Amino acid sequence: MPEMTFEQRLIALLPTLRRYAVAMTGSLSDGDDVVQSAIVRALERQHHYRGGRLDAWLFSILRSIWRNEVKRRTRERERHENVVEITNQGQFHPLDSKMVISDVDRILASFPSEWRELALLICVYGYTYREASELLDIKIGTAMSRINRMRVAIGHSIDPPDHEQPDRPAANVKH
Amino acid sequence: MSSIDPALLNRLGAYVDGELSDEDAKAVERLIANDPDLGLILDNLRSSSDRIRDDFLQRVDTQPIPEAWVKLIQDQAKPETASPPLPWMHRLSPAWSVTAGTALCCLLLALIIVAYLKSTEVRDLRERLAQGSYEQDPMTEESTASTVGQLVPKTAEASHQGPDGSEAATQLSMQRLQDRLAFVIGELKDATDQTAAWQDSVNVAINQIESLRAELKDAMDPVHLMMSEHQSLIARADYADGLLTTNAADLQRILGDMWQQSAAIPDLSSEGLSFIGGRIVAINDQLAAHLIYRRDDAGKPLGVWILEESQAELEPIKAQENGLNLTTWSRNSLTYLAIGQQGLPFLTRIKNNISTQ
Repeated sequence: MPEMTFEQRLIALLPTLRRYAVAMTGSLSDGDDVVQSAIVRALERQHHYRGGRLDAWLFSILRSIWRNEVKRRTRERERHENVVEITNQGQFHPLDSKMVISDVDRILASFPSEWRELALLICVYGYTYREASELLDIKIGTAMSRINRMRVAIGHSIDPPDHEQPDRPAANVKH
Repeated sequence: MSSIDPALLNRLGAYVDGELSDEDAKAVERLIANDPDLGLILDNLRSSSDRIRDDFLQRVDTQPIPEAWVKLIQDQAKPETASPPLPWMHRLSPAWSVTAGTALCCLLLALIIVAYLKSTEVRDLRERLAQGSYEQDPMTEESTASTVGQLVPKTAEASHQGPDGSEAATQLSMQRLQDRLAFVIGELKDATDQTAAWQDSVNVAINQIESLRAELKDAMDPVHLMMSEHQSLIARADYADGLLTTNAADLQRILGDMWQQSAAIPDLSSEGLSFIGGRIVAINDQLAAHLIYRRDDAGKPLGVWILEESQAELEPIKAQENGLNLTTWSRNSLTYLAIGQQGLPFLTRIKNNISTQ
């Protein structure tokens, strides 16, 4: 296969970046803003890319941009103490993007942004525990317990324990 | 599930994610065999992973990627990032730069020495051709001064590059390059007008070496060939048209005749996947089975390749490329490759499922 340029690989990864950014920021509009900033930074710094997983390198850029944005918003809120402002600090608000709210959405929304990033990396992109924990700068054991806690929470919503079963037929869970 | 020991839960989760060694995975399987409740917990973890994946993919993927992003990248693409037509050696990976560089040096050296070549070398090569120990590849070009063809030893077996197999692959490539050079050199000696013919044949030889390099790269990269074939098939509007048969029993008989050994078509119904059909594809001139499975009419196709292990000894790998995930493994003298848009944990499940059939 012909070798792709950096720009071509970046274009191919746009859907991946967007999913990550939405998971991280909790909103499509914030996510898109972060992706746009990340594209610019990635193009400026492509000489820093030394090979390996390009998606992981780009995820790091996304996280860095979002961290700075959260700090900026926090400073803004502190400066305008008299202004009541609801700042998106990574809590999930699917309504602002008109996305369908599912049980899974609600459950994932209850977890911190970094936990959702972990779920995306492991369950969607197949990152190993080591790769995901290095990217998120957490211990492998922490990654394992967090992903399983999220899965347990979702599992309870799919198939609550007997004593929590509502009056309805059991869900037909297909793999 | 909330009452399970956290350490055991983590082990089950690691099993679902393909993070355990073979030994630890077998230990988990023994635990599950002795305790059906653990099997239920495992199923729950798997279905939760699927729900997470489906939620992420469905939630965002309905929104089109803004054109402005693509334009931003394309506008800022630096001119020098475009691959220059020459020198072609700069496009090669470092390993292949060495091989191609060596090949070009051999060519130049051979051209210098060609005036002093003993006529017996060419005569030997022609005799080998005449005796039929080599067959000429159909892709033969003729220039004004030479006929350059690809010599394919009838008994040669394809070498495939693995982490520890690069030396064998290099020996094969150099052998074929030497044969090609000998063939070209032989013709050069016979050229009546060496000046114009010389340059013409040098150019042809360089192009042939480039083609050979690309061909050998593919020959040592069956994974990319299978991935490319899978992408080409599923890109069709109705890929069922591209399949040889939709009958698993028929295909199983064909494979058994082809390989002279039993090759069962995996049953993935326990994963909710139906067998759509299969076809036989040449991968490096060896025949491989390409099977397609799907969950329902709208499901993403999953590809499972089966090859004889002797034809393609692939290192067990997991990889992601161009939006596809894949994982390879070997079992019972057969090599398998599972490929699809599904996540790697799901493909690992497929691998575990097929491995136990």
